[in-house]
Amino acid sequence: MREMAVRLFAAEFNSSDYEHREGEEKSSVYVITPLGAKVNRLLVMGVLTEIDSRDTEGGKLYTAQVTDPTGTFRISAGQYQEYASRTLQNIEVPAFVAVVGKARTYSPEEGTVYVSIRAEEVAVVTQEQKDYWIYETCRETARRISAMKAAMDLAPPTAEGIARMGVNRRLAEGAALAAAHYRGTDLAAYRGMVVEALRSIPGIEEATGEADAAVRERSAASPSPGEELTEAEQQLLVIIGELDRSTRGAEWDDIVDAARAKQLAEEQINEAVEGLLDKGMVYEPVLGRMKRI
Amino acid sequence: MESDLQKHVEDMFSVLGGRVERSALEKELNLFVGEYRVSVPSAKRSIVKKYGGDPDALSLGVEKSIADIVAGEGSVDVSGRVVYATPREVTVSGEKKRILSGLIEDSTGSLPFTIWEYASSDVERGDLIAFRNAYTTTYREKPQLNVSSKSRYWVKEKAAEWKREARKIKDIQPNESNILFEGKIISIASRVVNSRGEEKEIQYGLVGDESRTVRFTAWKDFGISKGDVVRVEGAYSRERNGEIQVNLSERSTVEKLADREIGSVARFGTPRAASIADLREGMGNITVTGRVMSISEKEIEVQGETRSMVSGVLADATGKVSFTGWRDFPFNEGETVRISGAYVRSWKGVPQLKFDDKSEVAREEKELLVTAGGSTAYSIEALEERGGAMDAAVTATIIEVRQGTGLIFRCPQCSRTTKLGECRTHGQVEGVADFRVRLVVDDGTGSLFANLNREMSEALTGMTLDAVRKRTEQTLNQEAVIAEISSKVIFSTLKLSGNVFSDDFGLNMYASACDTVTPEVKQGAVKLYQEVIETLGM
Repeated sequence: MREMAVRLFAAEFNSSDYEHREGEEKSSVYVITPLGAKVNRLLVMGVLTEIDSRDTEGGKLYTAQVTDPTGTFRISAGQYQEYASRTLQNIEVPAFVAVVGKARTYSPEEGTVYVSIRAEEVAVVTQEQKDYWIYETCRETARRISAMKAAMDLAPPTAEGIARMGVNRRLAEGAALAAAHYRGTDLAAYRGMVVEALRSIPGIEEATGEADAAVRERSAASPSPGEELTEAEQQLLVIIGELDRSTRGAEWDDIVDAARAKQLAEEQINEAVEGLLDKGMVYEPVLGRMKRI
Repeated sequence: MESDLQKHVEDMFSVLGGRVERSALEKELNLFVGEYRVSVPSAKRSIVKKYGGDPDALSLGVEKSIADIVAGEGSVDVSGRVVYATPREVTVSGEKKRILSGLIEDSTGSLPFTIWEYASSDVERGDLIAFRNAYTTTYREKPQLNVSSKSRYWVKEKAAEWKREARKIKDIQPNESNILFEGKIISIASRVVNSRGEEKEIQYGLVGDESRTVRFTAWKDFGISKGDVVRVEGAYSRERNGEIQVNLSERSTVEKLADREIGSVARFGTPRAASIADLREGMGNITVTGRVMSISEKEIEVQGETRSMVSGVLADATGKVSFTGWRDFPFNEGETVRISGAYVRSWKGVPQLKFDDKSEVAREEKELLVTAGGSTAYSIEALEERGGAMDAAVTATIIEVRQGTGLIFRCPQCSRTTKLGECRTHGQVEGVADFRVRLVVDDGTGSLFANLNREMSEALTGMTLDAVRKRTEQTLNQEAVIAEISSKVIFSTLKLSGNVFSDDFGLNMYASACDTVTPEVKQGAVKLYQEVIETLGM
């Protein structure tokens, strides 16, 4: 059977440190992501920001970086990826590109795993194509989040059990593997990532404004204790809002620096951020970044 | 009522041997029934008697079939063959009485009876017996016939070498006893049950004739096996979950019929309705309602026998399916039909509907909504689960231009691709040049191989057959041509329609349409955004 091309964001892919083999003589190799994507082949799109080449024993090896709304993919193409290599040489950065290729892992030392993509095909694409990829990837990520939610609700999380909850077989298998390997994947953070990625599609932020207002109205209609913030929480909320200029969220280190400047102790900062998370005022779109809701 | 009266007139007319005019009989009957409010059976008896005929010879339109008799009827006229009859002495309020109880049956069912004052000894097994003015009570949730002093009975026909007729299985009613039927053992297995504190091995399975197939349980080993055609006497029936089941008791007899063939046994169970998109390999006994989109008939030789086969395409609101029928199918394109007792077999992964003379077909009068615009949209994942589909539409991105793309030569006789000028079937041939594109497309839920014909290949690549031919001759390298085509089309999103099949490598589509599209993003993205926001509980 031919392996399909999984759609996933860099943040999910790069958080993976689990390689899984199955099939006859364990011939099929998959990277299992924290959301349970079984990645043998993947299709990614984004901005090509860097291309390097170096000579290796196996000939010239091209490496490149492709950035999507959540992070950066590491791409490589060697002598056996002749066409991909040639295409890479001829693209000028920056450019929107699509890459289809195989997932690879590299472990320079025990406990450290890096993932990358060995390119099969590379080509320049339009912004519309890239936006469609973002949409497809959001859609598939959201399906994996649901599968993962089902897996985390089950004890033990078996593929059969997850499939019985109406989840597609492939997703159920991946979610069972992920639930066993990764302890407590933060689904809310991945949901936030999907929301941010959708917002990066031109026109979506405006179109969703109304939806946001409707949701806010609903929460206003049912006030919760979470709306009363402590002084420290209020301060941090302002800081996070101010620091979040990239739309990708404020960097954790910057938040801490800014809060310290306002005479808040580390404990207070942590407590306040926890409180804001609990009260649903901020979320982590990506690990290490905070964003106001 | 009018025609009923005619029937009664005819009944009396024939009993009287045509001696009395029909008009006179009708007038009499109207007088008795219309003016004097006498019941029709009594009126007929009186009239026949008046003209010197035998009122006992009357029957038509008065007697009921056994299946139509219910418990609690005050006056029942019925006749049937005596399956068995046993006289007994009973004591009723200190008085000794001779009674006769037994079982009668006709083609529709059987009925236990008791003659409460049985002085003679003229009723024997096999007799055709008639009862008049009997009444029914309930015994084991079934009507039982009681023949009192107010009732009459007589033997219409003595048994002369009577052989009891086997009943059609579909006519067996719940809670009948002493049933005789013939059927084929479709399946049989045994298990140990606990019966009154004793371990007992019973056999169970399916038995059927042309009319119906039912579950059976045999309470002793009759030495029957799968495929046997058997004559079972003394079985009893029960109803479970609305389904008739027959039981072979210790007292039943089973005879294997070596010379009886039951060629076409009815399928087991009630057909269940299925929509076309839900059809899956291996489904049996289903009912599908759809519009005939195309139909053709042909004669086929099957084991030396010519049989006519009908095939075509059926559509409902959910999709299309091709069908093959081995039976009369008197319908035309555009008509809506209901096919019951059909089954599904897959060909290369694509479910196909099959039916034969055990299935029922009927025209459906009500208007049916049929899948619009021809093809049905599927995700590739759904096609994988299904194994394939007729006229499926997918929207997916090209992630590879495959080997085999480019200039090819086809055998002028069979259109197969030639290798080094040779056709697999026709040998050395002058090949006809053709251009095709073979792709891997992927929609994020799965991937499939798509094959495009020359017209679609030219439209997709913007290269004509001549241009491809020239490029191939210049480069002498198919790979270079593939690379060139790939550079033009890779990562384009296509809307493809066509039939999808599966083989060992995955799904294959032979495209009937192929368009490059800019997929709609905004609507889907906004909807997804809202859904995710909801789950975040913001």
